[in-house]
Amino acid sequence: METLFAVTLIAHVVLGILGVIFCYLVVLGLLKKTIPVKMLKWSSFLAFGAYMLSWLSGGYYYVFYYGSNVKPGIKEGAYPWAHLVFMEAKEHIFLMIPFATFALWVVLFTKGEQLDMDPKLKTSVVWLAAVITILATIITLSGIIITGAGR
Amino acid sequence: MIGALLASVLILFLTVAGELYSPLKNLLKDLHYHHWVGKGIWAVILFVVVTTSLYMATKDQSESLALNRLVNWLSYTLVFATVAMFLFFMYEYGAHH
Repeated sequence: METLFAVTLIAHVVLGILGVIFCYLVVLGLLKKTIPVKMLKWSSFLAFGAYMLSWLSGGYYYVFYYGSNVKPGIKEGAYPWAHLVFMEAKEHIFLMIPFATFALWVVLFTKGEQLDMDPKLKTSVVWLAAVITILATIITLSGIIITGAGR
Repeated sequence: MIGALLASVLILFLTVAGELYSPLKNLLKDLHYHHWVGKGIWAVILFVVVTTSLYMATKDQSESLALNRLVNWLSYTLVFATVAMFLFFMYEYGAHH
């Protein structure tokens, strides 16, 4: 594998995990008695940025390397479902994450100070942050499965 | 919020429809080099158009829509789309292998 593709793959994984961590911090922050609004604004913004960069770096690797160099081996190997189920699902689920995280950031940026006084909205935002965190974790675990099948 | 929700719905639609109707997938590939890139581009376009339009339409209103309901619907859509995609690709794998 060329160095550039190795770098983009590593960046994709690292940035994706960072996105999960920042999203999880948002969940934890929202569950505190007194919401740390500034921390939430930054965490959600960093989560969005991390997912965007992970999207771009992973997309580059996927479009220009994975399709012709990794996919055929997985499909013809012992675990074709790693691509046909997990990769196919992962690559499309991941497309939704940056939009959802951007929406999360905007809500926290514009309504963050009001969350302590609006329990309904606070609960909804907690659930959104939790859903994004869980989906991104599922995507990460899917990536591990695909990598294992590709070896 | 609505932009993110509709973008997620579009991604789900293009994914399933593209697998079931190959001319759609080929169209995305012909227009954007790769079908996955095409899905991303159209999702971004839809998101920007919807978000901008709604912002312009509601910016003078003090409280536009019930925000907590919109946030909930986005969460439901994300979960539904994820489950739907996994089930779809599991079905496709089972049906063709």
